[in-house]
Amino acid sequence: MKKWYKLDNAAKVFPSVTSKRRSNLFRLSFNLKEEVSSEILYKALSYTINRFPSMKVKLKKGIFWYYFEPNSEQPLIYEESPYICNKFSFKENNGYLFKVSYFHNRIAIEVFHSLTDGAGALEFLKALVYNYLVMKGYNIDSENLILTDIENINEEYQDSFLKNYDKRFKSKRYERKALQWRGTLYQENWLALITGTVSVKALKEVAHRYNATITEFLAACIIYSAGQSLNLLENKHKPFKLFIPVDLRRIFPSRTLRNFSLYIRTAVDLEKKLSFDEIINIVKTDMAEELQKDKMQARIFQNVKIEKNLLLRLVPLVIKEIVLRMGYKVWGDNANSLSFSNIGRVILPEAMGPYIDKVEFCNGASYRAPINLAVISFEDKLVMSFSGAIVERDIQREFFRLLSDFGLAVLIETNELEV
Amino acid sequence: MKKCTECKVLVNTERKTCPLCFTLLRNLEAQSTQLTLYPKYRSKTVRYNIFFRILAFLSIVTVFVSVSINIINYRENRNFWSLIIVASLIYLWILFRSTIRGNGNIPRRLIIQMLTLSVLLYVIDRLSGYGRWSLDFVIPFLSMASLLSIIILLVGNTVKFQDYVSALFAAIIFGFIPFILWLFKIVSTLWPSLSAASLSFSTIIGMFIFAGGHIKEELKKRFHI
Repeated sequence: MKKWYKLDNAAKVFPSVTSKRRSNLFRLSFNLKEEVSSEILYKALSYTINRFPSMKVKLKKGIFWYYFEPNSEQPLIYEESPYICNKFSFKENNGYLFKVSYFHNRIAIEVFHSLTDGAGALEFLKALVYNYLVMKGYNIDSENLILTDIENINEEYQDSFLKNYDKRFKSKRYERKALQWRGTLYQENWLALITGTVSVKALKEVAHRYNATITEFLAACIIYSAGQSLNLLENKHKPFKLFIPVDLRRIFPSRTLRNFSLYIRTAVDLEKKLSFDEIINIVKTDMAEELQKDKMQARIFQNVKIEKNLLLRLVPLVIKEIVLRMGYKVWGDNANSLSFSNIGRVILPEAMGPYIDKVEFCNGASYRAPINLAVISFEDKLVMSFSGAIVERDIQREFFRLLSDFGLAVLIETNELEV
Repeated sequence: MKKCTECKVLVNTERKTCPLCFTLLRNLEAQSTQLTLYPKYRSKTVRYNIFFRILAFLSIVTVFVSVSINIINYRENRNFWSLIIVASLIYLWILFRSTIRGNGNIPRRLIIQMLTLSVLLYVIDRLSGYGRWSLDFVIPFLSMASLLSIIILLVGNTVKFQDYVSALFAAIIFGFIPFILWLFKIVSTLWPSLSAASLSFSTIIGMFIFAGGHIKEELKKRFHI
């Protein structure tokens, strides 16, 4: 492990634009089939963290940029807080940028986005849960799927954005503004979580009827439900834009455990009152068009180019932060209406399966993009988690009603009790 | 397990109404329900510290009253004595908030303490005849004391080097200031300033001899562009 390293291209912006209302945290959790023991979890965490040097860091301020430095303290565990994805003080967390918590059957991790993206954090959580189960005394063969049993390699903390920076791919990009939400924000940065669980097999069948992948199908469902809840949206003449993060490890060869994801957008004009079939066709064409290696390479070039600008690099961090914060306030989420990220299928060693009920994934929300959807699946359970910073929940209702209209059995759970 | 007849979904909850549409849920006896899915909502506790609020209130009133009296009586004794009260109160606040209850590391708190104490004593000196004792003796000795304590802390805990290094640099730079003031004839007694400057200088030399590689590394990462 190097003595220190720079934040990767995607991570650079987050420390400067984090506030109570925009925590830039996301959360992954494993629901086991038995009560979690906090002592064993702590032991498992202390053991697992040493295998992940890229997670065992603290964030430091330099004169021109932030940087990561190895953390010599031990990471802490917590009993889960009712406030999901709420900003926390790194200092009070022994300098760590992630928080491991437990609640009855669940082991959850909340991760600050500068550290890594969903795929990287999932690798860590998989290893943590694996070590937990092994320390519990279960005999599990890791089948080369758990990183603690594999020697760590340099490539795991590589900044793959820099690695794939290629001057041959240039492009200009201009984003139209998107529809924004209008709603009543919760007090105290409360985040309402509404999760729906469906069978992967059944969902796949329905998606195949439209010749679509699960991601395409769900994206179309969200856009359609947004069309049904227009009363919550402002500036209806603007397109509804879905922000879909893409794991670049699937496109470029990389084994990094740091950020390596970008996003694509699909835009639909809700005022046209399109039918579901029309929407799913737009989504499919948008996805096919955007999800190309060349396009992604061009986007990487664009992002890294900014970071490589010497003039910008020479501006002191204090000033960079002020400018970034103001810019983000004005333009930050202008181009997104809702973020929909699908991590996909979690692959675990076969022997681990019987101990795990389901895996959940959720994103924090911000005041500008107050509702987000995050999807993850394990075995036959696909969990869709809506995190909402606003009281209104028309889109969630329309979305789940639409799914049950398609004949899917949806199981709803929520962190909210009646007021 | 419950069911919402409007949304046609199963709901696993303690709620009486559907979280999506707020209609009453129907109980399904057949399947067992797994409750306490999430920790119960509780309001965030806001700490209301009455002691600090009283202290803050009293400090502001004191400043206001003493400055007012000072202005009224200014013709009789041409002296801004109220500044001593203001400076003392600011010092007191920094002592409480940063040195005692702060969350910085010890060397950083030490530096802040030393700086505010120096300013306070300078103000007192200036407003009570300006005998220059603050510049001649207090500030050089304060800087030496803080530099020495940081060095002792560092020797005792070398692992913390990267956390302490910025405070160490600050203490070193501060040690040179009395000597620079002497060069400009602001300080009249040489020996305390010269001792502070020599201590700073020897610390630099010592740092490079004992930890040259670390220093280079620290500078590199703090100044990387």
